[in-house]
Amino acid sequence: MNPESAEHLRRSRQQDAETILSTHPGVRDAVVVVWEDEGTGDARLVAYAVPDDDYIGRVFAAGEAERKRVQTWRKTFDLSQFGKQASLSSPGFNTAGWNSSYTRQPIAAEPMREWVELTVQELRTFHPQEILEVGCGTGLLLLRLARECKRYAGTDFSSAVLKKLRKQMEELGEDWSNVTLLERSAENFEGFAENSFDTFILNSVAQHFPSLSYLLEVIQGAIRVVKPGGLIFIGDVRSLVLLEPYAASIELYQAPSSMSLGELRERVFHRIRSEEQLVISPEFFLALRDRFPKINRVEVHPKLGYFDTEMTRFRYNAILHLDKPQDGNLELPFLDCLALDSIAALLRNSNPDFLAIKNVINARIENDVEALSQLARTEASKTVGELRERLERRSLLGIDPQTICVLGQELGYRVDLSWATSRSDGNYDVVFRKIVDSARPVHQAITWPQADLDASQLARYANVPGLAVLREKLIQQLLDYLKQNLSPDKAPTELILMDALPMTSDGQVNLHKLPVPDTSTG
Amino acid sequence: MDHTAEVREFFKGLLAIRHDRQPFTDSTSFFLSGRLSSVDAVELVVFLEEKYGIDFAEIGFDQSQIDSVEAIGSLLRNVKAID
Repeated sequence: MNPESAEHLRRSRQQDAETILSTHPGVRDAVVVVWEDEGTGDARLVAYAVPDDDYIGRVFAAGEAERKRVQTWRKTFDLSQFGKQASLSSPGFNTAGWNSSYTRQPIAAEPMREWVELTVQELRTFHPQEILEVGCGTGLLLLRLARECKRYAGTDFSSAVLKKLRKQMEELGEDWSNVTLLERSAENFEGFAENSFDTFILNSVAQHFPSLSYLLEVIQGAIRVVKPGGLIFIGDVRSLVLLEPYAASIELYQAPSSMSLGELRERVFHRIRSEEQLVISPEFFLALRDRFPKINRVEVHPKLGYFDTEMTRFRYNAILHLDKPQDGNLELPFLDCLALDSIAALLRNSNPDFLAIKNVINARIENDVEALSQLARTEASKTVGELRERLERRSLLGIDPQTICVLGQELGYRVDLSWATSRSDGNYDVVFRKIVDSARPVHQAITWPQADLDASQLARYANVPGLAVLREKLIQQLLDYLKQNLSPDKAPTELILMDALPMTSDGQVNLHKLPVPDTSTG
Repeated sequence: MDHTAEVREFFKGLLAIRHDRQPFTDSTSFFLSGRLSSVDAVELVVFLEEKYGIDFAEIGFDQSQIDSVEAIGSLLRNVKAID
C-alpha cells in the first residue's frame, strides 16, 4: 500500500471512531489519535473524550449505586463508634470520626467545641420548640437543645451511633421524655405529620448523601413536615465553589517541599475528581425558592469561629425560611470592599444605622485562592517549597469573617454575613445593623447581592461524589460501545477521559498536547 | 491462595478501580497515607468481616488495623489465630 493510501486509511479509522464516540450520550467532545510505538513501530488507536459528568451521575450513581453509597456511609459511621476515641469521649461531646483532611488525624477538641457551640447558639436565636433533626449522630446538638424544647425527634441511620447517644443520655441522667430517637435513613419521614415541627436540622450530614437528588428528596420531606413560619437549617455544607481552593489547600499542606508544582497540580485535580462527598454550591439553596414556593427566604453564610479549620474556611450554613410573613426586605446600598481600619473608623465616627459592604476579601482562604492561582500560572518545574515561600512573603489583604463580626458587636452592631454571591474566591458580603434595643433584636430580612440562578439546572450546583471511580465505569462502557459499533481494526483499545481537549489558537485540537497513553496497557 | 495473597489481591482491586498502578509492598500504608479513601476502607472491612469472620463491633476498630497488608496479617493472627 502506498503511503497516501495508508494515511487515508488511518484518517478514515480515526474519523469513524470519533463519529461513533460523539454519538454516545456520555461524551461531550472526542478525538481519536493513532499512536505509533517508537521501538516496535506498532500503531494503536487511542480515543480522548470529554465526559458529560451529569450523564455519569444519572447512569452510574443512581438506583442500586445510590443505595450502596448510603450503606457505605452507614458502615463508616458505625465503625467510627467502635474505636477508642468514641469509648473515651465525655457525655455530650462524642466527636469520634471527625478527622481533619489536612492531618488525617482527629480534629482537636477546642475547635470542635467551638463549632458545636456556635451552631447551637445560632439555632437558639430562632427559639426552636419542636425540632426534627435528621442525622442527629452522637447528639452534639440534640443534647444541648432538647432541654429547651417541647419536642425533639432525632433520626440517624447508624445503629452504633444511636446506641452511643442513648448511653450518653443515660449517663447524663436527665429527663429526656420529650426526645424520640429513630434508626432510619434520611429520606424516611414516615410517621411525621405535615406541619408538625417548627425547625428541621440537617447539620454536617448533606455531604454524606449520595447525590443532589437525594438531598432534594430530603428537603421535600422537610418542607412537608415544617410548619409555616418554621425553618430548615442545613448546616456545615461543603461549598462547591470553593472545592478547588480546598483541594489546593489540603494538597499544599501535605506535599513535601521538594515536590514540583506540576505534580502538585496533578494531585489537586486528582483530589477534586476523587471527592467522595457531596459538595454543594450556595446557589443550589437559593435556587430552591423557584422550585418550592413554600420557601420564602434563603440565607447563606460562612461558618464562623476563631479556630482556623476546614469548616471555618470552606463550609457554610443554609437557612430556608418557610412562609414567613414579610415586613419588606431591607434594601441597602452596598459599598465596595474596605480595609478593616476604614470599616472601624466609619462605624465609630459616623455611627450609621446600617453599613453594607460587598466583596470583602476573605482572609481565611486568601492564601488558598492565591496558591490555586499561582499553580495555574507558574512553571511546573518550580517546587512546593518555592510556592510556600512566595505565599509566606505575601501580605494578606482580607478580613477574617470572625474578626469583622467581633468588631461590629463591640461597637453595638448586629453583623450578618452572606455567601449568596457564591464567589469562587470565598469573598463575602457584610451588613452591620445598629442595635437600638438589645431586648428587641432586629430580624428584618436583608436583600443580599446574589449570583444569577437557574432552577432548571440544579445538578450543576453540586459535584458527583466518587466521580473518579464512576468515570472508570464510563471508560469501560465507551470501549464496549466502540467495539459493538466498529470492526475490530477500527475500534480504539484505549480511552482517556479529559476535562477539556487542548486547542490550538485556530480552534483545532492540539494533538501535541494530548497525554501520551500508558504503554503498559497497550 | 493464603490470606496474605488474598488481601494483596483485594488491595490491588481497590487500587485498580482508582486507576492507581503504582506498586505497593506489604508495609505500604493505604488509608493513613490517604492513598485510599474511607469509602475504600469500608469495602475492605466488609471483605474482612465476610471472608474471615472478624467482628469489628466486638474487637473495636481503628484504621491502623487495616492500613497495610502486614497490619491485616497481624490482625488476623491476633484475632482469629489465622497465619
